[in-house]
Amino acid sequence: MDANLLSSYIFAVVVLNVLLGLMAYMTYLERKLMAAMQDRVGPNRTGPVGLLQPIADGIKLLVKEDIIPKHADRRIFLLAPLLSFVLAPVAAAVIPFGDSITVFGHEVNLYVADINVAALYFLAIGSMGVYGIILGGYASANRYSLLGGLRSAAQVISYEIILGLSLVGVFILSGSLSLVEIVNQQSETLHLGPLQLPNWFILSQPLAFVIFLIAAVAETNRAPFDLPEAETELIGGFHTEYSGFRFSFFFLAEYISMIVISLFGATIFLGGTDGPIRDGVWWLALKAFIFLFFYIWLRTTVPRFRYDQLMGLAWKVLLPLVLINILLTGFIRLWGLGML
Amino acid sequence: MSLEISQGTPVEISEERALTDSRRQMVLNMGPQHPSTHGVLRVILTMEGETIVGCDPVLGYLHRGVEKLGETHRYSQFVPWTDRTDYVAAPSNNLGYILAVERLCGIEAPERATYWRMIMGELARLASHLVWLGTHALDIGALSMSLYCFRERELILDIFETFCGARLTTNMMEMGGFSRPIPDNLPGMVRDFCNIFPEKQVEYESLLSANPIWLSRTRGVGVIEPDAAISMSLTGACLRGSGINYDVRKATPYLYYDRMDFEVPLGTRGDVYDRYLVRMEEMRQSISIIEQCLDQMPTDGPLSLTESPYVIPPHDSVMKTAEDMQRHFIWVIKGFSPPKGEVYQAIEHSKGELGYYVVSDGTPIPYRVRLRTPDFVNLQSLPYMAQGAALADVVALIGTIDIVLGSVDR
Amino acid sequence: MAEEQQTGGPADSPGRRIWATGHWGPTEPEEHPAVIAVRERFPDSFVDAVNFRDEMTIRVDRPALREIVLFLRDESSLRYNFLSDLTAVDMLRLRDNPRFDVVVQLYSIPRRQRLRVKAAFNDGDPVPSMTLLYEGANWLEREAYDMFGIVFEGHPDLRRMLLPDDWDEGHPLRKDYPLRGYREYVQPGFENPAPRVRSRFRRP
Repeated sequence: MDANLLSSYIFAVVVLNVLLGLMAYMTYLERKLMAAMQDRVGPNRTGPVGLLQPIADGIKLLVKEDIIPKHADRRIFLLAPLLSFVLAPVAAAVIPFGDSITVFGHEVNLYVADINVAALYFLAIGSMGVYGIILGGYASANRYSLLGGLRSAAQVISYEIILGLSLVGVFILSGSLSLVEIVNQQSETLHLGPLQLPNWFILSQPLAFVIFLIAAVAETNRAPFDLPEAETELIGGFHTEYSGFRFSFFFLAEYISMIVISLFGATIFLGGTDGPIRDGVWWLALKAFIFLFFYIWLRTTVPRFRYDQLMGLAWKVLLPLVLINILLTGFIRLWGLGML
Repeated sequence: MSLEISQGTPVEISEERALTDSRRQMVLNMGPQHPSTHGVLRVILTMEGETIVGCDPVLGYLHRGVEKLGETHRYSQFVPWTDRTDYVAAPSNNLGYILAVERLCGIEAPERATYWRMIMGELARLASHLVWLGTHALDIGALSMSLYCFRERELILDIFETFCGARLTTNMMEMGGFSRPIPDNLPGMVRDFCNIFPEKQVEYESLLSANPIWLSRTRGVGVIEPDAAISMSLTGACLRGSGINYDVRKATPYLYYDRMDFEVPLGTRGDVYDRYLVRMEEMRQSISIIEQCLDQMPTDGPLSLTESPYVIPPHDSVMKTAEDMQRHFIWVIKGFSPPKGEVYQAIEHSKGELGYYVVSDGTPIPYRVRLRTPDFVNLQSLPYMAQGAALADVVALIGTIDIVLGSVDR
Repeated sequence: MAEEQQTGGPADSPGRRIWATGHWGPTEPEEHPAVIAVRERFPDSFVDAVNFRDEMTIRVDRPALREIVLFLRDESSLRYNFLSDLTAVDMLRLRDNPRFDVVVQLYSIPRRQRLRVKAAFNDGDPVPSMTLLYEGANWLEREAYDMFGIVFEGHPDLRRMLLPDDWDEGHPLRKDYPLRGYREYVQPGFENPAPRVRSRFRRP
């Protein structure tokens, strides 16, 4: 077998496991951070400062009774959480975690695949993830779930467009869809007089970054865009009827999506592994953590949108803004190339 | 003057049309187990997509027959039952019933006891409004508000606990005053709370009042026209949010509210946001009333009518004098018999006008106890407000009416 | 027990009748504007006016109840435009005939005055519904129907309010309804007391 391919396989397994572990402690982190923001303690009984809580939760979810409603569409009901769960980490395959390193004399690339349309691949996988939610909502034979599924479909279609278009400015500037290439471009240093700035796309595309941030929250169905779940209106929406480990699949998928989209955003806009001293994966982790912290902060602070307001925000506010951004970027790019 | 009774003219609907309508519509059963119906309210929603076209609240999942129980208990035995109707503002319920029975008997508590009753009633209003704010914001999705509000509510419950030993169902008020002494540290606790609370309230408002999402979720949602509000007999913030100035404390003062200097906040548009503002301002006024009570209150003086046959004799004299012991025995075993008659006593509960209509037939057991609970009547506005709203708005509307199902179903 | 008990009044007003709040208008029925107006306007339907603890109660005949309340609502000098409460009292133990009283608590927001209107009627007599005058009477009348079995004539939607729709044991706030209902209440799951055995949970 090709050694490169083998190392890619091994690295994919490593990434998957790291993601699952991160996801478990992401829930812990979220609960602790939310507790701190809400003036309470958070999990503190299982292990030191509650550190074993994610494991306890996992065990609880796995041994719970698996309930399938009588009138549910059984096959789809069983398929939907799997779909969500499988597709969520697949998107991480194109994230570059750094330059290649040498392990036992083999050169190992710190990414699973360097596709030349990596960004498109990411968006495509992201939109497929919503099938799990729609099918789960449909198959549950529950009207709340159905409403949750429908909301999710409309929401993801709308915000998928915004998310994709917000990246176009970056693509215009970098001239590439490959994430490795985009990161490499960002590792250069800009010299603005006495100032030395990293060439991160957040500096040249601030508006696109803000829109990406909003769309990413909506894409992962997090508060204040958590309409498909909306536990106070739809009682959990698409996963109302799911229990035990099937529910945990949805749960895992949501958190993995969060982590992956944070990594993606850090890669595109914040220079990925690039940092002021000693480039490496830790910088990527730090930047992704900033995204995740923002997610959690948002969840504790703001109320939830209404469905029509959500759509209005996407189509009436964000879409014009993002189109203007593309137009401006295009003109500036052409001007810079001397074509105007 | 002749009555014009308008009969709805029947509209011919073709079978085909009716079929497509019914196919387009979906019936969604919200509750009785739903996190946002504040208990066991069940609402049958008919929806087209996410738009409500029909709304039918179904009550009675917490019906315990409180009025029937009132007809089988002696006057003083019914007081704990009033706690169980609106359990987030139990002292207010006690107060309304006790005032009604005192009026029936023709007695009035001493001044100091009356001031303490007012303080406890206003604290109960604050506790109830805090629960309302927390759950209402939680329904709309502001997760943290509920925890902040319940944090401050704990302080009020601590005051209740110091005062009477119970936190939620307090059974606090007694006929003719308080038979137990007021703890020495209580005025200090109330003062501390009055000092702490205003800045906490600023904190809540900084999270919500100018929040664009909160505004978009509440502005223009659930508008009640002033005429409709009067016609639907709404009271409390639901009525005042529409700009109608009717606060029982001002309109027909009871206790010493005529001595107090406070404002009745009024809304202008009658939407959810106005009702939110009205309740927030009411909390400020409550704090002001509590402070005025503490200032005006006589530091010394009787807490209870010791001579009246309607009142339980104080504990220490029961232990010392034979007459009081006999009276105590009779009061406990036989109860007291108010004169024949009927009274309707309305008080301003945190949710609106709480009325107790008590009919006496001259026996120690009331002939009829009627609870006019504010949220039961206010809940009638839900179908009116929900017409044409979105599903997410229904949750906000239930929150804005501020219902407690124990009080709605009784 | 003296009815005119005067004890315990506030210190600043010795000897005043402590229930005299003035919220119900003049205490003498002959002076009360609502009583005068109703007696003038509906001489046949006016029964009497009673004052107890300064609370003014007008008793009227049942068929004219709605007209009288409408008059009280719309007359420019009275304007009882707010329905505080509507309920009924079963007078079974207090008098022989008629059996029920329907009690309408009115309030005038502009004049800040309360008034109680009562009408007596027998079991089965239709009572004019107030829903045409006050929308708020809707649920109050449904509750009165639920609890007493009073039929309100002209009510758009007279269903059970608090009890289940299929409740077939009558109307519980009637005085002849036993406190625990007509039937022995069996706790669900204990219909046939049997020795406890361990049972395995079975999927339905």
